[in-house]
Amino acid sequence: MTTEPAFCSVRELGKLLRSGEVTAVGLARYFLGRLEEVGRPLNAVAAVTPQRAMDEAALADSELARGLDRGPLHGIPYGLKDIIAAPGAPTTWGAAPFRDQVLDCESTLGERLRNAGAVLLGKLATVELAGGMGYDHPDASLTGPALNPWDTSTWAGGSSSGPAAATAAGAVPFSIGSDTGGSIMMPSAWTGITGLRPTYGRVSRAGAMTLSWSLDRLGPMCRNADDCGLVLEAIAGPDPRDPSSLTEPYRYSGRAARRDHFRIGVVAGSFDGVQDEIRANFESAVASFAEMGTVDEVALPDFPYKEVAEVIMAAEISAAFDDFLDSGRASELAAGKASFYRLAATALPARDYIRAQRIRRHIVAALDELARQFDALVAPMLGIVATPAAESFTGPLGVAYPQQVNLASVTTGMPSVSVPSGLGRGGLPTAVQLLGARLSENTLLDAACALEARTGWAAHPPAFSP
Amino acid sequence: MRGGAGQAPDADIAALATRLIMQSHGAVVAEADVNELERAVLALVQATHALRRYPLRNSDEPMTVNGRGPGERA
Repeated sequence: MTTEPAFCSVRELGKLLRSGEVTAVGLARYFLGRLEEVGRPLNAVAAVTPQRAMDEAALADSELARGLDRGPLHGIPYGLKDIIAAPGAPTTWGAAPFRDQVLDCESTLGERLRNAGAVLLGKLATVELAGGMGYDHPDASLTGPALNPWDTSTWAGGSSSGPAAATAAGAVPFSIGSDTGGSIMMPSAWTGITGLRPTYGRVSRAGAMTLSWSLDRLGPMCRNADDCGLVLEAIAGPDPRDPSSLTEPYRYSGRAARRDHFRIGVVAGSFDGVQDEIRANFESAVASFAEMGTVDEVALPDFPYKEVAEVIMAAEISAAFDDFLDSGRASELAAGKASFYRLAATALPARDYIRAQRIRRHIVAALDELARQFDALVAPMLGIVATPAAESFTGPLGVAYPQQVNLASVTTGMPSVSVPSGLGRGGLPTAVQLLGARLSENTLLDAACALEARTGWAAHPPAFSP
Repeated sequence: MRGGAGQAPDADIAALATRLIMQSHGAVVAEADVNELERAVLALVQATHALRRYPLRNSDEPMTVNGRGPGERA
């Protein structure tokens, strides 16, 4: 292998494969090695699936050799967040009470990636139960705190910690994460990768752990926005196994991508209180957008986003885990006492949950009307850079995260993407979030690609060596 | 679990709700942790209290558990 593939994009790896410079088996072997050498020291790996990886890679080589090309992901290795089942591998949900759990079924998403020719390398670390029981410390994971490859004394974020750390460190070309309250967006921002939280229902959740039926989403975490589009194309679509899945088809490749004339709405007040470097990087991103189209300041409609999200999560998560909570086994979690926030929901009246869902309908209507006037609403993704891996994050995150724009996407199911915007305090990544109307992923990704092309930050690997 | 106008303060409601939870789940919460549970209950009480301030009409329908409204196709 003459080309170093660790930080190649999916498209670049595809070119190497089709030119014969690399083979799928060679790539699988190379990235399995990267997972061991780079991923494990970062606490990013839950389990590797080497036999499956080599079998799928050999099949990909054989198919490509005889002219059967399954598309951009054919022969490309990837990793799954360990809340998503895969046959033959443990699915621990990152939690001690489930450390021996084996779910011998394939997720719909895994089936689709296999049909696209992608090569599963293994399962990547997650905060226990995808953070659903609550946690206030990075070590709330069966694999320990996921370390940030930009500075291993800091945390990679959560709950899709392993996908973020492994993708940022060049241990996998792309990964799949899950997001209920920001779990794709936040670690993507802190590790300098591009994360896409698709429209609610775009991607089937069959085979993935349920946290919150009306909020859970799965999505790609990649080196750049273009890769996110390629992966989303492979995994999107209706699925009878997930009654929430949308019927609308999704196509990313084979269309004329936009690179300018974007109408951007900058959310007023969204950078109040953020670190100076984050604000400066955000203003630089806005200036880039201004050169490519129009930029207007907009006010986010006034709603109790945080409280709506809190009450819905409390009710749905405690319902999804009611047997677990009743069993007392939550005390075995690393953040066992945090589960009291879910136990508290046993005294939550049904009408309060329904009230939250009634307000949510108003939020959806107002945000949809606003988002349709723009190609993207933009704001800094987070107000602070990655926090120390050895410290509680209750204080700083409580102030700066989650922000209203993130919660607007969480509660409405609208798509959003986290795009690197530069480096901030301590040389750690900063990011901008782009929020769009329902089903507007292609517009968002086009805007993200255009921003990435201007800034060059998406191609910037961390200076990490194990 | 509500501290609306004319009702008890949030802290009193949280204390009462905590006692109810301890009656049903006392086996899974140690006595030493009751204060922590009560703090969690209070946070939720305050969140529901904030929702009460948002005006709704009688006819306003909820989103459903799969993120859609009644009658909407999944």
